[in-house]
Amino acid sequence: MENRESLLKIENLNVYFKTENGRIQAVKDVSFEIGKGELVALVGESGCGKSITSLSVMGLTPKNCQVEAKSISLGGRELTAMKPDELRKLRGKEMAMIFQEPLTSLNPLFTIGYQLTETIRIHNQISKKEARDRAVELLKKVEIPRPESILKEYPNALSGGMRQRVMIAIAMANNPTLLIADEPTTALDVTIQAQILRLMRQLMKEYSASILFITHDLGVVAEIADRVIVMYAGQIVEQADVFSLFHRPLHPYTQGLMNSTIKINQSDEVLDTINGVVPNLSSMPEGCRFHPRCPYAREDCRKTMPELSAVLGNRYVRCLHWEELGGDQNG
Amino acid sequence: MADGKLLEVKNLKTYFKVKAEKIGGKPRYLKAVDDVSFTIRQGETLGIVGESGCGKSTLGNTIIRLLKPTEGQILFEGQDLAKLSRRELIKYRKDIQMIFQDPYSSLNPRMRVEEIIAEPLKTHHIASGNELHEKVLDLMRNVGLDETYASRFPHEFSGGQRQRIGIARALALQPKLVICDEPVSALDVSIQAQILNLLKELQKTYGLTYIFIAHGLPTVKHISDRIAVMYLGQIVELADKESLFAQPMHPYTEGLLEAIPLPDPDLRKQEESRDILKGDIPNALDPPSGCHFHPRCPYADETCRNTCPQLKELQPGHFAACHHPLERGMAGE
Amino acid sequence: MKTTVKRKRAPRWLRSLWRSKTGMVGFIIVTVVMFCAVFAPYIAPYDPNAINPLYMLKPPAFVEGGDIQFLLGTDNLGHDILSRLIYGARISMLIGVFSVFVAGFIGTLFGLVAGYYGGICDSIIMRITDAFHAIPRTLLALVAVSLMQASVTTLIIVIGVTGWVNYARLIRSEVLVLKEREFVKASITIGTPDYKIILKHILPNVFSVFIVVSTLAVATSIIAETSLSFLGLGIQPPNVSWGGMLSAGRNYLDTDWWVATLPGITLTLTVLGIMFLGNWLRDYLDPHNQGL
Repeated sequence: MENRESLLKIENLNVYFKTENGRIQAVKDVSFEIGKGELVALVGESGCGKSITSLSVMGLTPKNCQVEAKSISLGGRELTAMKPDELRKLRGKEMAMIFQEPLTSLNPLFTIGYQLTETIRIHNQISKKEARDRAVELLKKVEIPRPESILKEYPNALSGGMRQRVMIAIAMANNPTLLIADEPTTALDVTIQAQILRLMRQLMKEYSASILFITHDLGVVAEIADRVIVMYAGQIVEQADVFSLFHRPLHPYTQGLMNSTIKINQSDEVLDTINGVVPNLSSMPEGCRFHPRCPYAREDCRKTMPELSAVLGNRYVRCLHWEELGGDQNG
Repeated sequence: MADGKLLEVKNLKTYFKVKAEKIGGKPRYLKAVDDVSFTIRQGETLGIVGESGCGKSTLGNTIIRLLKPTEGQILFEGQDLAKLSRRELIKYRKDIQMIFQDPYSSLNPRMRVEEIIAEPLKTHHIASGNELHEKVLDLMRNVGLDETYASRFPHEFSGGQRQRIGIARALALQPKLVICDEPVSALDVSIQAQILNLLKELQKTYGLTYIFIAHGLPTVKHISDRIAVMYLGQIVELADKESLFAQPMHPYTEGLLEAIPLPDPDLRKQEESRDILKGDIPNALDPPSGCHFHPRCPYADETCRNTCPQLKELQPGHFAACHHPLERGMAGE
Repeated sequence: MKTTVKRKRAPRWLRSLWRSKTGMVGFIIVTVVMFCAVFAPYIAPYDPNAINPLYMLKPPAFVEGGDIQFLLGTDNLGHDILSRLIYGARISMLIGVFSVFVAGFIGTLFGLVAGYYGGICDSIIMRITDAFHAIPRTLLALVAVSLMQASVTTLIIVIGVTGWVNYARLIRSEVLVLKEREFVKASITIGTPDYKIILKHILPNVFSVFIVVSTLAVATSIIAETSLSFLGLGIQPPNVSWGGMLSAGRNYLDTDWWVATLPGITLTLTVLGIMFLGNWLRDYLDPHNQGL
């Protein structure tokens, strides 16, 4: 599992927002890799920088955003050096993205069929008829019943789950090697979420694609991920394969997240919580960014910003005292 | 805290008229709450869980009379709230309060925290002047807000803190029943836990009774004593939480339980074999015949397609509306 | 990680105004016109009604045959055009602002009632606004002015009463949205009486819409006054208004263009300036643009 060939490699990604009150850093020094056929989950709470990281890869950051990176490479090709036009050609073909709210990413004025065939035809020189057949094929792949009649429908006529399936079909239309999914199931009901997660797993195998799955839900992570990256306040604080992470979370933030997640199979009167709130991007604490909320914080945590260091073979953690903190989660 | 009934809902129906598609066509009705009955005892928490469109929020809004029920009774301490006019309701407003889902929309952006929390106290002439100020600060402390924040505006707070302000406002009148309408679903995980703990603590301190509406079973399980599962406007199962989780009787409850992603990768080994519910949630305007759940139900037969099952007490305290209730739940095994 | 240096800054509205170029232009124009309106007697070089038979139809100073004494020339009676424009700003602004008060008051009242109570109330009020929309505003004003004595007060009332419809519609649609907000629901569950909900929760939150509509309405009202005056139903001499000047100058358009053109340009610039300011105000008051 460890020796996968790397597909996406990000080195030292920094993202800034330009605001009225000057430049604010939203992502700080993020580096990670995604292997071929691997599903990596990017976890964190709102404002931790997980979405903006993925948008930077796609080259879809908002206007007031400044992206700086030593390197972002996809399948050996350097994305940072590409012109917007080259990047646009890559999007939808080599890498595709699905979002939390499919209704906003589908144009309400066009039929599903039109939007799907257009996507196919942008990157392939094929006739309308062929594209239509491909579209039907794709809708079958994402398990949409009656694909022929769905092609004639407008997005509004579909349920949330169906729309997300259509989005997945559009994303997979040109066999991308990388699929970025930004909270794709958060807006869905739990029974529909289970269907979509299973579908994504199946498609991933079938197309041998890699997925960067962005979520705040540890349950979903445990369900679907191979490897997990935990972000806090714009930085990666922990990175590990999913089993090691859940067996022994090393960073106090990861531990806190796990403890505050309600487990259906155990009953505690009082939930463990992480005290305080996520710090404001414009006024980050000195030293370790988590120290004001960390139950184990000591004097040096207030002063020294810990590095993301390789530990226990194949894991990374950004904590000065990880060794002393048990982290014996789930026993 | 005797076993006294605080609230009894009987055959409650809330229908919305939907404009006919054709001119002169028959108006259609969206049966958001369709014949729902249950009771709540003093001091307990009843969880109401279900997916979007199941009518759980409409039910909450009807009980607190933000909506007028089409039919049925809402007996609060024996008094039927369903038929009271807005004016007559004012007396009872003190006793039932609500905590809302969206901490951004639930606070008036142009009012200071102190004014927001003081509003109910002023409206009911409970306190004024210095006494009012003290009461507000007291409430703020009780929900874990720094009292120095009293003169700030809502937009200066994070989601979790805003939700605390909303809770303080709801508690100001010392209500007997608090309806919590998805109070944590808009919050981050670590903040959700803080708010849930706070709600539990406040329940103990003030002897509150909660109706806790949510779409997430884990959250509902954590806070509730009993749980009602709703599907397309109806309660399909109602039981103590232990017995609901250990032995779900309705196939929909079983499906919901199965669909919850567990935060433990070791448990996903059965992923491929796991039965997940198929199909979509039907359009509430046009629910399936018979048992509304039958198109998605793995056990459905002819009876299910034709007749709508009634909610029956199959075991003491355990109700389900199913023609073929499950003998043993999947969850315990 | 760079720390931003905190120093004393201009107020937020000024910084925002500075960044919006059109907003700044609008702000300057409106300030100048306002200034003229308020201080007309002190800045106008002549009495606007002083007739000077020696200097009739003098072109502006920058045109051949112009006289430096009369910067913008004179009209057929030898009135100094610059002075008349400055005094004209008074009437225009007076009517613009006060008719908006009238329209705003009526419109907001109806809009609030229609939006908040809904049902039959809403249907009736909205049908009335439809009816008002169907009748051309100028026609209505024409009838009213011809029935009453033409005066500043009459104009304010006539323009105000014919202009409330837009307010009613906009305020109503805002109220419909606000009514669904949870803080209004919370207030209902508390048992707050309706009038308090309207005063404390609804009204403060429609205020920004009100302000924006009002600035634009000032511009429309000024135009309305001008049209009425142009038709001879507006301000009567000796009062000076831009519309009256336009009307007086139309007979000389082919020979002495400045008599009608200069008030026309002033009017256009003023209306444009107010529109610019209104657009900026709309962006500025939009809570989504207020840095969180």
